[in-house]
Amino acid sequence: MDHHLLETCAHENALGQVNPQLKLVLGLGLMLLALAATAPITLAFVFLAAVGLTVGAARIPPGLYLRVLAIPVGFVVVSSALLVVLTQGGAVLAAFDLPFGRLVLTEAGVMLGLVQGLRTFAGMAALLFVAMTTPMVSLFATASRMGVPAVVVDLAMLIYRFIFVLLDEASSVLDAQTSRLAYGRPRGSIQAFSMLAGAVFLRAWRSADELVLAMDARCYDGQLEPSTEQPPLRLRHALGAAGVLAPLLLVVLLWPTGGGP
Amino acid sequence: MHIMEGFLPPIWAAFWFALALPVVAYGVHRIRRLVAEDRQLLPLLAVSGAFIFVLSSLKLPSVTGSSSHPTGTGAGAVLFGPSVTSVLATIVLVYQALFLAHGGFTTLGANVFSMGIAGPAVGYGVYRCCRGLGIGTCPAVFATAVAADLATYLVTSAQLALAFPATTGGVLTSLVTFGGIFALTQVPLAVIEGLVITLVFRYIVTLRGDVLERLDGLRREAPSP
Repeated sequence: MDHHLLETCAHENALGQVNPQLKLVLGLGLMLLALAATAPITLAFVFLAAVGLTVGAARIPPGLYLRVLAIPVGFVVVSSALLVVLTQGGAVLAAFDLPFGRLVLTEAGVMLGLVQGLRTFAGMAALLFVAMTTPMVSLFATASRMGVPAVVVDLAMLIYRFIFVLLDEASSVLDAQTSRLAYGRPRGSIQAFSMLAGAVFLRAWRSADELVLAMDARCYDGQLEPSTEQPPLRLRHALGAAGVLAPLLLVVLLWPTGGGP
Repeated sequence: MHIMEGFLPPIWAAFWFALALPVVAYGVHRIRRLVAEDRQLLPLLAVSGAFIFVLSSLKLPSVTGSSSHPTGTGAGAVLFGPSVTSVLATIVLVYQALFLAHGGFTTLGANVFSMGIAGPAVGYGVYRCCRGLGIGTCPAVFATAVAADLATYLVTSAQLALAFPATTGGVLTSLVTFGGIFALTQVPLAVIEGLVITLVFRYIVTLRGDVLERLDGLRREAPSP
């Protein structure tokens, strides 16, 4: 099983000493720029900036990065292709007669498909920058400072903890099943997967019981305390982030509209 | 079905956030009250959230390709009610975006609405109907999971169609096209998830029936949503 969550990189990247809030602001800024940009070339700039920050500045291994960036490809290709077909306008580039009807590719449709595809990759690259450089643990304190209710932060922290407990459990059950050829046929697969899920659920239930006991034993009073220890905000990091966002913002604002929504 | 980061235009991204927010806020309010009454509930909600995440991160082998994974939110709605499930789904969706690169931040509102609100609400309704009609537990669980999945996929298709109406035929043509294409993977997936959830349910009843009794007790003590 692919046990490698993006979180693992976040603990080992070269931007570990940069304040997590700054990285969050930078990532969100890039996502908003990707939404605001309308020309393919400006979207490409946003994409390249996000990739540069993640692979260049944070030194995430390029092979791993490419594999992760390939995750949205299926969604992007299908959805953008549909947009190309659904949107009509401008010059007709090509037309095909298919058994279920006539397929016409127009300039506006191709443009919209291209812009949406690029925008999704730019947005995903910005998301990956946050995901691969910022450990979740450092975001809990940020969340509670941003006004997320304490009970939600507690719940999020507990879910985070249990994800690793259950993933370990699921992966050992999966290994045991696979070594007994459980996933050979579709029908057997469904049966085996259900047993896996059931076993993990029962294990999860027991973990919850044990956790209540452990929390009670440590005088839990209904409120967990997120760790607030994190690297301070440094001027050169802030200037670096501004140096990435400001020129991109200028380009996005000043570049002529490219035909996207 | 996650809408990936960046795919929704800003206006629609904001629209779905605005629609999802009140439900999630009500869910938070309810969780706060439930946890104040019974402290054991918080860890239980947490493992359920983690369970949903782990299920969604395990790909069903050899079924319909890489995008096939169960969501489990229909079952969540039956156990905890739709509004509490929406809070769990929101947290899980943030983790899916950050840990698995599924979904995104600006599309979070839309994804919460389809997977965390519409799916669970429909699933919950179907479950109540089935129980009201005296249908057995296993068929009811199956119907719940299938209905929740189908509702999620229909809402996602509608979200894409509203954001990108076709030049000829408008939103409706877009809806039919998006819905038709996604149906190829999503309908078999819904049936498979229904089977899986039903089998999981039977497995748990066989091994540890008391667990579900206790869950049922928790839900009954809680004020109905």
